[in-house]
Amino acid sequence: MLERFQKIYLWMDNDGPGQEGAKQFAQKIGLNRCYMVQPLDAQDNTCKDANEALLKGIDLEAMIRAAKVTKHENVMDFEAIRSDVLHEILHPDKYTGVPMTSLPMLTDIIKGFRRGELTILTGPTGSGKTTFLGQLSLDLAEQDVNVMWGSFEIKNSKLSTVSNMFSMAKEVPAVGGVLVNAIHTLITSSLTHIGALPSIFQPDSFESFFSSSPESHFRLGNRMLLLFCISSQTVSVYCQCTL
Amino acid sequence: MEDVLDAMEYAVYVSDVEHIILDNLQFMISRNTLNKSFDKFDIQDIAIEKFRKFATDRNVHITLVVHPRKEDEASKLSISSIYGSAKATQEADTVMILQSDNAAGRHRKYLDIKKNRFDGTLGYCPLHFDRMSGRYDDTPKIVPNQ
Repeated sequence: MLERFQKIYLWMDNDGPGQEGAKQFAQKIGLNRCYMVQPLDAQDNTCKDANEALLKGIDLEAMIRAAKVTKHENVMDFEAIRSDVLHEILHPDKYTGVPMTSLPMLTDIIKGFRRGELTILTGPTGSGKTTFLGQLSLDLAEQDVNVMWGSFEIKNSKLSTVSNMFSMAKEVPAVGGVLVNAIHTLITSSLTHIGALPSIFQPDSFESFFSSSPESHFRLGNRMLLLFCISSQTVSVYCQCTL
Repeated sequence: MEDVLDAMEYAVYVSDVEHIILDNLQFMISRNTLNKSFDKFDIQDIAIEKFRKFATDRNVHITLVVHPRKEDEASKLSISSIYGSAKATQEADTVMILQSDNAAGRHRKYLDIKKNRFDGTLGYCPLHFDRMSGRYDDTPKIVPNQ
């Protein structure tokens, strides 16, 4: 799509994450034809993006004309990193990584998993390294982080059952007619991050669906699978996550 | 090894992958021992260097499993228990050891954070396996008697 252009101007948010994104785009579409639009003076620096600059009546053309190709990665002066450093000091929370939601104590120590870093995990045979990693990847998947597994130890089919670990298991006491509503609340509250729930989850159609096939499972998008297991006392709703 | 990097490259470009889990280093490199001019420590060092560079260049997080060297099972592992030269722990931003404490009939597991380049906080996080959900939890569940 962009192959025919010789010069591409990138104007992204004037902060750490924005500049990071611009760099990433530039890497994908070719560093030497990407011109980064950057603030020229203190007044520009207050603008977060092109829209703000336009609203403040700043000379956009001058800014675009002054855009430069990214500098050689081995040459850098403090001028170049000053804004990054300042931003990092002022907003430390923006530089922590993706948290491992199911283990808050671990997240407290390592402050999440940041991009561009390398983590080494070791432990005795059978200590549960792969299980831990399966859980980590589910946590990340739930936060919309794309995870790739490179496994050289166990067969892929086996791995997919490992990573098919239940991402949640909750029990609802089975008390008469409250049941269906309770399950509905449980599912909708647990799965809010999925976005639009399938029509089956609309309160009115859910009841008929549930009473017609109580021991059932079905797909939610291509990532999740819901399972209902019913005993005389309790109903468990499992949500399986496939990576 | 090159196949792995190739696949990673593809996944990062096409699927915008942000986190790559590699399980594990030893198995990956034992698959190609065609080049006999390097010993396995050299090969391991080269592999770690490549992953380090990949993580930095492509701006993705790589979690790499490295087996410990064979040691007495009862003793705890330390940062020097990691197989191979010190390369792995030098290049890593974070080093975590999954310790399993089976002494005196206890079965406790915890994640021992031995290195943290981000802000230096070290420590450990207990892991309690919850059979119900098949997951680890960092706080023990109190199951009431029925």
